[in-house]
Amino acid sequence: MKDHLKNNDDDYLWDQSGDADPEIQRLEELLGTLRYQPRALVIPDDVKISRPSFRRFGSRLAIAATILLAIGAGALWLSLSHKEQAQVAHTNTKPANADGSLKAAAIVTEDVLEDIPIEVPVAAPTPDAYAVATDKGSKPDSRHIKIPRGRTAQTGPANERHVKGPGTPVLAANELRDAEASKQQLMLALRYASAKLNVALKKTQNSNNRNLINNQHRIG
Amino acid sequence: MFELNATADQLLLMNGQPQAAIKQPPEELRPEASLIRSVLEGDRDQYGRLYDLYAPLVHGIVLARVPRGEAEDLVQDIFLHALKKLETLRDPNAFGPWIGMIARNRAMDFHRKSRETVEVNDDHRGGTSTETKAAEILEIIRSLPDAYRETLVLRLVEGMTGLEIAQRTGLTPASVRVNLHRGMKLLREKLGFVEGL
Repeated sequence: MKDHLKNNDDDYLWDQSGDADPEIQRLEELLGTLRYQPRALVIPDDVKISRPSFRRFGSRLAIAATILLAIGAGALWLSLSHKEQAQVAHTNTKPANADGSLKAAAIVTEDVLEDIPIEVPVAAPTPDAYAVATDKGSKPDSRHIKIPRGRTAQTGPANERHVKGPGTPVLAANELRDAEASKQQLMLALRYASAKLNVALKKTQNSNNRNLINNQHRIG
Repeated sequence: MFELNATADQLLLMNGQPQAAIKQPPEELRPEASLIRSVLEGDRDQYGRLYDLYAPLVHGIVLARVPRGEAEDLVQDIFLHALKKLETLRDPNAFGPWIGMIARNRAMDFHRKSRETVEVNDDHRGGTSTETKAAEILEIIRSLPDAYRETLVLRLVEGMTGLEIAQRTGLTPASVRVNLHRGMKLLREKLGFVEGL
């Protein structure tokens, strides 16, 4: 058996260089009769050469646009989150009250909002810490929360701000009342919708029963 | 595939040829890129030059799959189809592999259609004894695996060198060398049963 890894054999097969292999030569001679015979290409007139269009680059453009949009959205989100972080209070683990209890609170009055509106005392991290500091002159705790300057300050008892904890929303008394009223309205609406649904269900059941009775002759 | 490449590297080492020596020419030097640009700008005559350059490749690919009598017309069809779709060719340097793929798909379509009708193989019909023998050998080559039969037809029928096959088909020279070597080995084994060669 021939060793086909020999240089000569392989070289002749590769580019007809080296020693000729008679077997391959014979095959070339025979198969060469089937070789392509040059023939002019006839291009009919109705064949139109379409030029590169937007469709060719459409997918690339769409991908680029998507990436740009994603980058833009990411940048926007980052800038917004930075702004929010700037408004979040500096954290401190010390309790607000001098007695060392975990309950702490702050009242943000109009004056406070106007004078030192950026930072107000916040509560200790326990969930039940929900006390109210009544003294305007009380020292603000080292835990602070920033309140937007543009926010309208309230007067009287309504301007008491109950601060629950570092991550909890700050609501005034009137806001709490509004929320309670909204909750009641929502509950009423839900009850109303539920009653309506019950009525509809009863009607459906009644109609089914009626159908059964009406269709008895067909069954029987 | 990995096995093929590994064997190809071994072969190259055994032959002592540095791989750089058979590297394909830089893509920017390929003539078809400028021809394609001209065609896309509306110069139809340049497509004729592309046709002259690549018709043997397409003919070889087709001949490895369909009867000889059908190959000629199929080559024309393929080039006309390619002309219509030329705008979809992303890399002008890859015209060879692209039209090769069209040719393979067209050959498959041909077989799909011919299954519905009666498949007539007219390679053996009439002709001289040389042509008959050639048709018989071609039939044996067609029975080889795809990669081998195509490379062998391009080499033995169309008379292309291994490097030309690599450049036109987009295969690496190492793969072409392996395909030629293994295909030839298989062909020799099968030809052992054919008398009068």
